[in-house]
Amino acid sequence: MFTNPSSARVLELIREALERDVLPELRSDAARVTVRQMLQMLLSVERRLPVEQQWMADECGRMARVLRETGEAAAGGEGEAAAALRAIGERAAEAPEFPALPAFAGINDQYRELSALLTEALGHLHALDGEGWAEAPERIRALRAYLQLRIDRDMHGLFAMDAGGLVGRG
Amino acid sequence: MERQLEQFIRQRRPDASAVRIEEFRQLAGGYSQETYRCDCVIESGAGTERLPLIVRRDPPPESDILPTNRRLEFRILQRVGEHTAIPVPAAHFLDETGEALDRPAMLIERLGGSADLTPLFAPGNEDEAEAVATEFCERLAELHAAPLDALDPDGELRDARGAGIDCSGWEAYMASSIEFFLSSYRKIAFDPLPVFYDMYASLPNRLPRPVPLAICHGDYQPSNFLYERGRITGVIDWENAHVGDPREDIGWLRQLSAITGFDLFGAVKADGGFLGHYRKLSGIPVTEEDVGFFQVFSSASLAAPILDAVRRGLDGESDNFLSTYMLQPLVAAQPGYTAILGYPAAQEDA
Repeated sequence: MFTNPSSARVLELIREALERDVLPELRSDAARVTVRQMLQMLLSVERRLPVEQQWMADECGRMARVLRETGEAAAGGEGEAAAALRAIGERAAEAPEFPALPAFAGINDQYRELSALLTEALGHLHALDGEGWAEAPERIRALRAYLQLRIDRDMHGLFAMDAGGLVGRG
Repeated sequence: MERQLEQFIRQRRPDASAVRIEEFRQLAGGYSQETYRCDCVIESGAGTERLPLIVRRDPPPESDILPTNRRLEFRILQRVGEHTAIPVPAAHFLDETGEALDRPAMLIERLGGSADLTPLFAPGNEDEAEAVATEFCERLAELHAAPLDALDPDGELRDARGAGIDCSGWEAYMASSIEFFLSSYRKIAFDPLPVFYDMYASLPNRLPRPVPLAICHGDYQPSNFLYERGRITGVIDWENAHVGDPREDIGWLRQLSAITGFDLFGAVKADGGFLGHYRKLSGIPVTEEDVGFFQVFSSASLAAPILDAVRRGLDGESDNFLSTYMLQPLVAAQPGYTAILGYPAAQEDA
């Protein structure tokens, strides 16, 4: 997948185009309000994307801990409500602990660097292949096997060309 | 713009007493030029003349996805019209500098016929599809067999992009083209794009047998012709025409036939199929393996300006949203490239 643009940057470019190219062309107030609502929500998603998984994983741990502690605090309590809190605490204690996820920017930078190294390696391997190095074809094949996985994921997991094909090619 | 067109045509038709533009409208779609259609009514001593026109104008530079040269497109239309039987739009008027129409533009004949291939390839219409596909093959053979010096007498289509391509011979052309792809990648890759680089870097090790250079259409594919009742009425969009290896056009046609699902390649039955028919008519030897090579080569050639357009959008040099949207076809094209390059199947557990 692309590191540049990131998903957040794509959303930013879409927001800019809506604001610059679409909003001024709209004739009804209702349509303009709807687009402004969309713009605001797109900005919200743009801000959420780089932190969503990291914060969710972190907050899973925090929620489990505070619920477990609440259940423990209700250990001596009587009645239906206290029993329910103890049950909640037990269920929260069963939740798996996620490892702390690295910041998105760190993963993105690492993915870009390794992708650049892989690209460069392909160039060198083709040069060596041209010079007759017997190992080159097999090493090229190994790198391509990984890349095929990447392309398959991009195509089947991310891209939406099934929704209307290539739009605007006339 | 209608008034500008009227004034512009008037200047070029001093015999006209009046010029009117009617039914002017912009055509949606297309990723390169601004395209308009209109009728031009010219009154003169000889009577009333009605010209059905297409106006192709350069987009503003910051929005130009695939920069090409209107003058070269205008000239190749004229020469193909003069020296071959390939049906092309008559090239009427050229504003080379954009002095009259704000940006470089050309006014060409609006041909009859349809560009919609869905009915052509509908079940039950195989005979018409075969007739059109066969003629499409024959027109390409005719273009490639035409004398290079007649179609490009001034050498303007040798290195048409001004990219430093050496057209002094086949080997020089291939070497300088591949070097251009690689150096372009280094300048314009906005992100590591390993499949594209793999495609470029693999080319020197797979070179086919040399053939004489010829005029290539440069975008010979299912979107770029018109047809009517089983005949081709026009071959259009010559903006990427250049001197190159004629097999580039065949590779690109195969690539786009596969992507669009309109299999012009497979619909030809004469002489054993497209390649056999083409070989017989053009005298140019071409094999299946050559076609695979030139699918990669022509894709590499056309990917370079698209990658650059995306880069310009991301770098803020262009505010055309199409630059961003170009990310979609770039990714969608990759499975085709990996198939041509013979990538092994992915292994999830590797």
